[in-house]
Amino acid sequence: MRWVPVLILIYVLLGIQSGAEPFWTVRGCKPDLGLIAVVFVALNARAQATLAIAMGVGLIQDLLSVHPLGLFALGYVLAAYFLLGLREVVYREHPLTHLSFAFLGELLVIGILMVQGWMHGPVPAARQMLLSAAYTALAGVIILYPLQKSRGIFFQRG
Amino acid sequence: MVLCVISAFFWPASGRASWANASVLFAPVAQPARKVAAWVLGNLHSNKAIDPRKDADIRTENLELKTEIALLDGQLQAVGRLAAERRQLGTLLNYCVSVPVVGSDSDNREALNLAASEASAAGEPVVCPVGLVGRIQSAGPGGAKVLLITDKASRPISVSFGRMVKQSNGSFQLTRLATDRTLVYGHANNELTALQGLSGAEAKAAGLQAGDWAVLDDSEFPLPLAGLPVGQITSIHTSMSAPLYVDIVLRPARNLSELQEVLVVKEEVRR
Repeated sequence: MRWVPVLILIYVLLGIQSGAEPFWTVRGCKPDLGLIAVVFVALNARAQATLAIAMGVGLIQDLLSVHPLGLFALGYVLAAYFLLGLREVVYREHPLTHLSFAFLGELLVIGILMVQGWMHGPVPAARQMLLSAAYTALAGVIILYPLQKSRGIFFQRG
Repeated sequence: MVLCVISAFFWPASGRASWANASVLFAPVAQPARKVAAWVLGNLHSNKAIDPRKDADIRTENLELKTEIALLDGQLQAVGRLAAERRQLGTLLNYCVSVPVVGSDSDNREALNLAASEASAAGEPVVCPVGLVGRIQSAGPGGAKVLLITDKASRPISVSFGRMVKQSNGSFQLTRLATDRTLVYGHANNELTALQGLSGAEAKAAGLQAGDWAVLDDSEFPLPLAGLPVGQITSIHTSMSAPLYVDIVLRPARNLSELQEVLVVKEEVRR
């Protein structure tokens, strides 16, 4: 993995999410660009690097959100771990893979958020969270497809 | 992972305050992204408002609003004119209190009745943007009375003469003429006179003529009022009773009886 381009990509995605989120939020549903970055790394990088990136991106998401520190980090690491197990049996270039990976990954993150909500409140609206997962999946197709086509910038071939 | 679980589920309040401004780190990307998103969204969404009112009601309201705008515009212009007039007084304005005129004197005296103002006290000078008006003769809780400088009973005022000379930038500046100070008296009918005030030779030497200005040069008035216009010479002619002297008739720049508002010079300045 080429660390500098990947870190720049993550920085840009999180920056765009931080700045433009209010403008693409639909009825409280918004895509999770941090998770899309994790999915992209999980599709291409080695397992250890993927988990490290997932942890880092999750911690940054925690810092950018009102959630307690570690919540997104835990969710992203779990999602990355799950996707690392699945990637061997899928065709990584296919948009359906991107759609399903983003959706499944977001479902895991949502699960973590729901558990935390039940423990300490407030409990997030499940319907809204599911719609957010669908929104993330759609955004994942749009973002991951060109990224996969140009993955040579971010990862060594072979 | 363990630390994440502890932090997220068992110690959720940890470390929040210290990271409150972490989003600043992403500002170089977040701010342009926000602007672009706002621009795109602004172009995609039309801001059509759904108004349940009838068209006729909206037209009526429009008409009312237009009338109100015209009224406010007129008021604004009037206030602008007033402010411009007051600016002519320069720093003297800082020592003045504006008092509205209620009316003129009921008999044939040259006096003004002012609205009640705590600033008014007997003897205080009264001015307007174009010159000296008079002095407060009496003041009380119900108002004050100003005896105009043009009233026959007003005290004589010491003045000197000058001429308005046009400057290269288009403005006018008063140039003092080489004459002695002269006492001018109220003559009624918005006029003042200086009977036998100057010798004919002195007036001729100084080039005094109709159109020149008399300005306040009186130690009984506060220093900031020195140089305030008193009146413009309307006629200057040889005195009938004393041929070596000239009689001068002055007229204030504005009819003092018609003023709507005057400025009372505060007591502190007089001291």
